Amino acid sequence: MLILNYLLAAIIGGLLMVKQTKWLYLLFFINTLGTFLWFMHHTTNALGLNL
Amino acid sequence: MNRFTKAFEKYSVGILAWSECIGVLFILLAALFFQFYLNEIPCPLCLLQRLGILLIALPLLMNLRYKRKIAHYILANLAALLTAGIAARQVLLHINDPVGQGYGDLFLGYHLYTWVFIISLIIIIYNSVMACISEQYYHSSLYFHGKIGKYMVNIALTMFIGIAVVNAIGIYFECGFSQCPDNPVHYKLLMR
Repeated sequence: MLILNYLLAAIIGGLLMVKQTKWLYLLFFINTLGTFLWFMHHTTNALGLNL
Repeated sequence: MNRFTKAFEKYSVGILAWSECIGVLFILLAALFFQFYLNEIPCPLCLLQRLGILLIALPLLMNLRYKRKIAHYILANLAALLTAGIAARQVLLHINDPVGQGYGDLFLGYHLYTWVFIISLIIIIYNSVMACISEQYYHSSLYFHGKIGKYMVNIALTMFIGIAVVNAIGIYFECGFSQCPDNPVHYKLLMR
């Protein structure tokens, strides 16, 4: 579901365009954490760990 | 001081911030060129690297839209570190399989993931240096520098949103809502 991370990035971009809010930082962290978790998921799956 | 010098002083910091954003977004445009024009279907790690670069661009866009802050550089460095880690993993995969040719075509002698690794390191160094220049934090962002500034920021933001949406559509056609295959050879949804 990597598509969700991309859509979240587009939403953050849209919010950045129309509004000045500190929630964007939280959304940025959620997106970064999501990317990191996808990366770990991919890596552990490739190593056969299936975490 | 003439009018040109005054305008340059007023806009220089903002234009530099704008150039940083456009530079990072240009990498993603190049990736889209490789995908759609040269028909190179991105692998899962490539897609993660693209997302990482989008995340690098985001705090730099905040620099344009809000005030320039040291926190934005730190966030961009965090995203660059993640992107470098993902690219390094793909480089190590290639090293671990010396018989294989790596994934995708070469660009100026290196694979695209090697370029992403190099570029991420350059971004980390650049951001670290830029964050140390304290004078920039006293300037207001480009967005508040009149009509032209607002227009330039909106161009960068529209580019960012457009690239994210095009990538999301590309992923939908490549993998649907399931996990992407390790070595994609065609768009899953177009083969039905």
